[in-house]
Amino acid sequence: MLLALTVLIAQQLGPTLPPWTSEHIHAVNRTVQSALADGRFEEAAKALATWPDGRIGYKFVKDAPPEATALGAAAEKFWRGASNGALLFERSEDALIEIEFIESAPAGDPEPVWEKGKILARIPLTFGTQGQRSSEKSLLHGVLRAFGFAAGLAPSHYRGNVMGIDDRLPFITEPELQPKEKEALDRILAARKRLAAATSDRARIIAAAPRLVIEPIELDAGNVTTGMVAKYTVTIRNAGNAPVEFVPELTCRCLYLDPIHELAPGESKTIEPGIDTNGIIGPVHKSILFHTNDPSDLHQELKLHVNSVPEYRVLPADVMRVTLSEVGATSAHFILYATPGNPIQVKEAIPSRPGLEVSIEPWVGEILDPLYDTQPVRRLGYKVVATFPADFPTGIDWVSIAIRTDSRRQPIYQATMQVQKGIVAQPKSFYFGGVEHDKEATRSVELSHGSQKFSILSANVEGGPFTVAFQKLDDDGKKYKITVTYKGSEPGGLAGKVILKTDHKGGEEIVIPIGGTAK
Amino acid sequence: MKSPLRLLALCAVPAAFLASPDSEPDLTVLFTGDIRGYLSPCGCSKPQIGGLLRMASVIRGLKSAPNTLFVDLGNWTQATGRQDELKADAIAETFASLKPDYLNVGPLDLQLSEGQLASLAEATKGALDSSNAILPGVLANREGRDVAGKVWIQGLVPDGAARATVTPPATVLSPRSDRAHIVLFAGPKDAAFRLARSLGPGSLLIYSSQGDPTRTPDIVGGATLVSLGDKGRYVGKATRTNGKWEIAFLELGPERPDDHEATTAYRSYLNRVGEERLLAAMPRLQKGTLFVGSAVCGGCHVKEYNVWLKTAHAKALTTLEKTGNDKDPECVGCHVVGLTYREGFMDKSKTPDLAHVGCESCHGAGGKHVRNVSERASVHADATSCASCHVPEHSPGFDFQKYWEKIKH
Repeated sequence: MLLALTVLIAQQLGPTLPPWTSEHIHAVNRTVQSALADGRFEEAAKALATWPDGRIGYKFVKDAPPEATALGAAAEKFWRGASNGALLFERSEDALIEIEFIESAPAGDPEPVWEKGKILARIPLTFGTQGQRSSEKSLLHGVLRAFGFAAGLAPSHYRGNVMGIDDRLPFITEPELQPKEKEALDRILAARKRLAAATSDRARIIAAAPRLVIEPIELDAGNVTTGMVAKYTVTIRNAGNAPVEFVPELTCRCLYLDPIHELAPGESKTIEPGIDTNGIIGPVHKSILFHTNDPSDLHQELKLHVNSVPEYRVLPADVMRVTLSEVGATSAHFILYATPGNPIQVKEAIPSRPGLEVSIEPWVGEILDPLYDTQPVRRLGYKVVATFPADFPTGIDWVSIAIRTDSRRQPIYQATMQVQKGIVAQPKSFYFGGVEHDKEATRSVELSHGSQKFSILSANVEGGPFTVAFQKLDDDGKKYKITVTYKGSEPGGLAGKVILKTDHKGGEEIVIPIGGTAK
Repeated sequence: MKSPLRLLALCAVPAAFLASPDSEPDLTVLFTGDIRGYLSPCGCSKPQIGGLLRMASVIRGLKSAPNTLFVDLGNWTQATGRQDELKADAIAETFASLKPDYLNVGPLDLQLSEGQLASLAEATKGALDSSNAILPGVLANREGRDVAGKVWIQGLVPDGAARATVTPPATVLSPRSDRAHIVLFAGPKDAAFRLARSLGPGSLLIYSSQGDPTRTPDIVGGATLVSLGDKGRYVGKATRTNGKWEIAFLELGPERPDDHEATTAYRSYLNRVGEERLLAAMPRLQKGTLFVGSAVCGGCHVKEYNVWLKTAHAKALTTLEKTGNDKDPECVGCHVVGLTYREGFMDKSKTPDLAHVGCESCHGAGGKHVRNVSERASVHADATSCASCHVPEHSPGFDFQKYWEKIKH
């Protein structure tokens, strides 16, 4: 008993790794330490063999560019210096690292990966839409990153960085490890050295197990007035036996978090993350990712929710569509209503068009707004009435009304209305985009009148290899589908127009342009 | 802030230890959704992430792998005007070139006109569809889409979506035991969770949300639920191995190349925005507000004017000209003076003095002050003057004290 206790006291805690370590090395570290803790030394040695060290072979596969040899030599020198001679990369046929130069950047994960016991790295020779050739520095970065990954560092997926430090560098910089990267590398090398010594000495260790616990891991702030900061209270603690380190990743500048990055074993702290709801309306989900050195959970996600509720809303919330009379003025209205507890006053309403008149009157009524409630609720608000003059232009248009209120957070609301008068085409043109020049393609437009039926007397097309056809879409004769077919021709721009004759007074001739490109 | 470990966090397994032939994935689903008009990278983070051009390059590169599908959840734009129609055209053109397996219609898409939706369905060769938003003559309204006898995809909108007749989503669901069931539900999380109870084990349900992706997917009744967040910042990648889904989110950072086809579509979009003169056609307020331009202010306020000339504000519109966004109403407002007013910036030839962010952008229209110097500027400029443009969305690093030093006058 006493002997066992003495042995236990003599045992040392295994090394921890920084959060910037690659997942592979984290996994090896964990396996080796578990094996050493249990006295399974052969198993520890076997696992440790997959942690690259000393002389590390690399080779260029497939068609490497002529400068590859020089790039390899430069990267060898770089990492030899960065590791103080501990890592010696060398060309070898039986290589751990296989580097492939590819024509353009890969679409998926552009990082080096461990695959079947080897590291595969792909380096694009070109970039951008015009296929510009990657600079030599850029290619060198690719090789450096492949070697750095073998050294155990987690890569940044930003090509301008050597490895994964949290400030993105300008794309073209002299390769240089930042202090944090250097510190991480030194720790990784030191950790491997300690584990190798323990394995060869058959010395047991206590497996280091930093353990970050975030409680709760998901929080909902409920309804928060738009513009306010939603605040949360979260406890973070280290339930492990070694210092836990973490790097929180904030996905946008609307997130706030206390600057804490490390907890000692048993230590617990309260943090107060927040979401600035300025510019957000409705339910929103935000995550803070904690990249840790906790081997049981390297990336933890703190989920934060909030329902950002504006001080007032406008009904209908969507774009209001108004069909104007062709013989007289037309009125349309919307309701502006306040959130309970946020009384507001409308100061004025300013229309965006001359001739458009706007009036405001107090309003009371029941509204079901799913942003706030599940049942209709009696609300106080204003009715804003827009009156369009009889001479408002024919066609389709958007107008807006700016409503000025006494709300501090949302002083102006701009209500948008889509107005249509007479016969209108939607969309406004036959847009083919980029079509294959030798293949047939069709596009259609809906021709409609908001209130009256009409007949199409003729449909003709001018310019380009097009044909036109139309069909009635409803029984009333207020809606037609006009279809233009591109018959195929030489590559180049597509231009033309469809001319429709109708029996509708004021809309006797409708012209709809055709556009696009034949590739 | 960047995310160096994110891909590893979600994709990489220590392959040297774990890979074995019987654990190879048999199906990969690339998914996008809730782009909501963000064709360009979102300015909400530094560096900016997202954008149609990067999105397309990722999908095109990965889709060539065997058993790989591409689907979209819908909500392409905010559907509030002509510009959104043009954006939808660009998205349709880009997606069509990626040979999508299903493009779901979302509630925001249903706010577009039926004619526009029909045109988009044609442009995507019928891939744009819905299982429960019934629009005869516009959408094919298939019950679902069978892909190679292996996958059954259904696209749904939530109850209450505008315009279309919407069949309740739960009544449309038709899991097939011999197919991988993928449900694209353009509705919120709580409704998605209710819907998931009707799904079979091994199903994948992708739902709509604002904010970030659900990196840790939820499992409800054996179905895997996942959401991508909004603004087109990620491409989702669901990989099925031994009946289980593993979810990864590929961040569309600046290291991603631009896709050639998407670039063409995006340039066409910008050209159309210019050709249709959307800047001139945008609704403007009639307020009798008289802007005079910074040069007039500089006539008396010489020292301040000379400081301004050396700031980035004095070149604000030039920045947009370089990227081709100088005719885009969504961008120009924060790069000129008084765009939302009838008397404000129209274009560089008509109102050259109102180009760039000028004195009146912060101090308000100077017309009254010029006529009568005893009348003060209409706006007292302070930190709140900056806030309308320097929002987290477009100016994520904004700090008034630091930025003020750059323009101090």
